Amino acid sequence: MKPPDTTAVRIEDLTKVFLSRGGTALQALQNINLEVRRGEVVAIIGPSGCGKSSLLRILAGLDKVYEGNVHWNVAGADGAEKPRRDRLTSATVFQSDSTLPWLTVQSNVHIGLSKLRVDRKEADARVSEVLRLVGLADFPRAYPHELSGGMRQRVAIARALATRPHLLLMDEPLAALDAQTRIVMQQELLNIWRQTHSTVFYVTHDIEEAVTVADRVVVLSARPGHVRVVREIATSTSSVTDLRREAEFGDLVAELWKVIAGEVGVSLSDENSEQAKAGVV
Amino acid sequence: MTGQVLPTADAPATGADVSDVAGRLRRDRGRQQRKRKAWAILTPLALLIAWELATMAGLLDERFFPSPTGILTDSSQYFTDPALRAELFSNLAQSGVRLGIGFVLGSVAGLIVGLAMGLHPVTRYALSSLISGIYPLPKLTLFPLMIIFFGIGNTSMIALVALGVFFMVSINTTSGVIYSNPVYGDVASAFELPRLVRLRKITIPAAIPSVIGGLRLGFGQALIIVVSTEFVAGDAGVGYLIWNSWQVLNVPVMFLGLAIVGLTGWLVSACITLLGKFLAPWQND
Repeated sequence: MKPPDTTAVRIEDLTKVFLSRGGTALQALQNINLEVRRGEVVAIIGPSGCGKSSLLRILAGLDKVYEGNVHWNVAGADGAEKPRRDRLTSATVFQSDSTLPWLTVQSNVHIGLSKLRVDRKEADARVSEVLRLVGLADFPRAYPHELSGGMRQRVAIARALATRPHLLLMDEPLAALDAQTRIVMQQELLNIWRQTHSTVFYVTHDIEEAVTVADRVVVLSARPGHVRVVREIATSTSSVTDLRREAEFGDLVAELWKVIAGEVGVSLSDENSEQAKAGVV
Repeated sequence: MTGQVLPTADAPATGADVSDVAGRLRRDRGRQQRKRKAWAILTPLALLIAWELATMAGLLDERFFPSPTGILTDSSQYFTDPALRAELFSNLAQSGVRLGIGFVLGSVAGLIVGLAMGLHPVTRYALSSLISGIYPLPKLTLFPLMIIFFGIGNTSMIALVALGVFFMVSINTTSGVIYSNPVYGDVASAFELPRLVRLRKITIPAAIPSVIGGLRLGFGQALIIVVSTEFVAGDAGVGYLIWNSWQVLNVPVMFLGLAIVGLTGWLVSACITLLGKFLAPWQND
């Protein structure tokens, strides 16, 4: 008997090429090979413009034009081979505010369930459960413009969680929040994932955030992005503030920063040489 | 690096009484609002008084610029005298029919075509050159063509009004669908929303503010077209009333017509603003 497949998604030899406005080809991703295991939080970091977001958009189904393969393992956890109709393959939390201003908080979460085969009762139960999970149980009928930026992002997180996705995609979900709210939300995300056993693909440009939330950090190289370093993170504490005090935390952040700084250096010197070629001083 | 948290002096009692401050802020805000209203009302009033005085002093020729009070008394007989009243109201009814039917037809057609162009790229490619070619034409230049199609009379005038409204509403609806915040479309795709849910809950609500803008511009067009076709056709209506009064030098009635057109434009524009606040309450926050 072969061991059960614990992969949630396997990315094989993924390459992405864009056409720029002028019609020149621009390679964003190069031969990415990556596996996300069930129940694991993988953080993707890398210098800006390295294709992190392109990778996420491909997994989210927002970009269907690419070379290579993305294998989803959506068989039920109970061993059933057929994918279940009450979960989405992936659900995304976006960087910018993605709440729909014309819908109440609960409708904003509800709409994410439209594709799924769940009855009304189950849907309502899921909505109130995730709203409680993100701390918005008291605001089901509020409109987004009545909420703060942090609360709106919680609505977006609740919407994604309610679909019980095989893979939860997060595209710099805390980048638009202020520094204090960001740390509070990191703690809340950790608490939520512990309860939901989510499999998470977390794109961020913040190294400390990656080390805080992830079980594994993947560093992409400068463009065209390919996997540069994969680092397992073993954390002994589930408190964000305790974690930040640990010596290993600082060491790890410094180590990852060196890798990225090397990549940023590469891309900067590339730009300089291009400018030199173009005769720009 | 060392640091020490220093104790602060007695923390102020929370929930202290701030009603004095709040009262002062409220009074300031009330004063601002009164000031805004006063200026909005006093400026036109001052101009009217200046006009009245200038006519009285003989600075303005009374044949062309009768005093505001004179206009008021002269035009009041159009509401008291039964025969004159019937004439005025039949003119108003004529223009109202042309404006109303034309506006509704043009808006509905503009909404449907605008949505189709926004949702279906091939429709957009096919129609965009046609629409951007005809749209900049002053609509009155198409009036002869409308008469050829629909004959002399109400139908051709209504058709021209509808055409003017159609362009404004369709262009604005299309851009509302295409250029609304792209993250809404991303949400719809990432959560694999069924087509109908996407249309009803995402695409249309996102386009509403732009559609409201199109309706407002469209009504402005409709008003211009109604009055100008009535100038040309000389066939009843407020435009006819204005032009005819000018021809027979019945200047007070000309001003009455101008006031009616102006008030209509202002009132409907206010109604469209209200409609926008009702349909898209998130917009102004």
